[in-house]
Amino acid sequence: MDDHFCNVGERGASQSCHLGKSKKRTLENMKTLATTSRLVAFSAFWLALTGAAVDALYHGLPVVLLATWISLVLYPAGRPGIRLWWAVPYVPHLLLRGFWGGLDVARRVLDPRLPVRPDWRRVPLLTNIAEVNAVLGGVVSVLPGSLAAGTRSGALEVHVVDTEDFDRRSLEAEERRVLRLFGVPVPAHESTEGRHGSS
Amino acid sequence: MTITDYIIPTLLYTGVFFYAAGSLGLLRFRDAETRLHALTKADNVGLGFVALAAALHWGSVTAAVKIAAVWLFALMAAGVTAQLMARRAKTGAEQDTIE
Repeated sequence: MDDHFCNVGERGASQSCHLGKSKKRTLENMKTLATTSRLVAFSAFWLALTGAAVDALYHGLPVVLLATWISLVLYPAGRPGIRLWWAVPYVPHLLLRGFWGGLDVARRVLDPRLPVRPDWRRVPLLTNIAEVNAVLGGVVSVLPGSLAAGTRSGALEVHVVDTEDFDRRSLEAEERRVLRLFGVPVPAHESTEGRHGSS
Repeated sequence: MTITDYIIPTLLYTGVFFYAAGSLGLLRFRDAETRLHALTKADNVGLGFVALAAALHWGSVTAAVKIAAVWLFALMAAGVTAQLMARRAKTGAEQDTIE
């Protein structure tokens, strides 16, 4: 359609043509960037796995190309992506929380009284961006005492191991961290009403 | 004996402790969702300690990177699988309630 506007050369169409071209160029740039970065990442992963053995490079080339193609088909360029520099400080934080999660489970399992009061909780979400909420679900499942089961009607379905220990604020803080990871603007002080799926 | 010779078995035993806790949780917890807590959280930490022990044992950067990659993928797979299984368990429980 944008090409049509460009070819016709009508008055007033030049702006649409310009905008269309600019959008197209941005998408092309994103595709190139995504393809290059994934090629580099898969190559680095292959080299790490094979210890950069020369014999393995022959097999590595088709494997890396195939992995990049599959990755682009499953998660095309232009969809929300994680900002790598924000992930660097976030990973140690997540590993530490994961360690506490494991310790919390071990403590409950080894306690003869078995202190678990499990139930489901709904945590209203700030956005309905599927990619962000999928990552948030994974993160919530690592945190102590919570396990995500996907989203429904704008809220995250969370299984909590102990309803008395459940800390909603902690999950909301984690959501803000994940949003920052994706570069989504986070409201400084959001009310519960501002969240999706709030009842 | 060097200090590494003490650290490696300590890390290994800590890993085994978390694995044992996860397996015990599978037996002691009453419902599918709570059992998933035990499997995803305790086992992941156990794997982390075993991976650290293995990286120290081999003592090369290549081995450490390989092990870190394996651990990272195991963590990601566990997070995704746990979510899917929890969703399935919840749907199943809701269907049982309706019936």
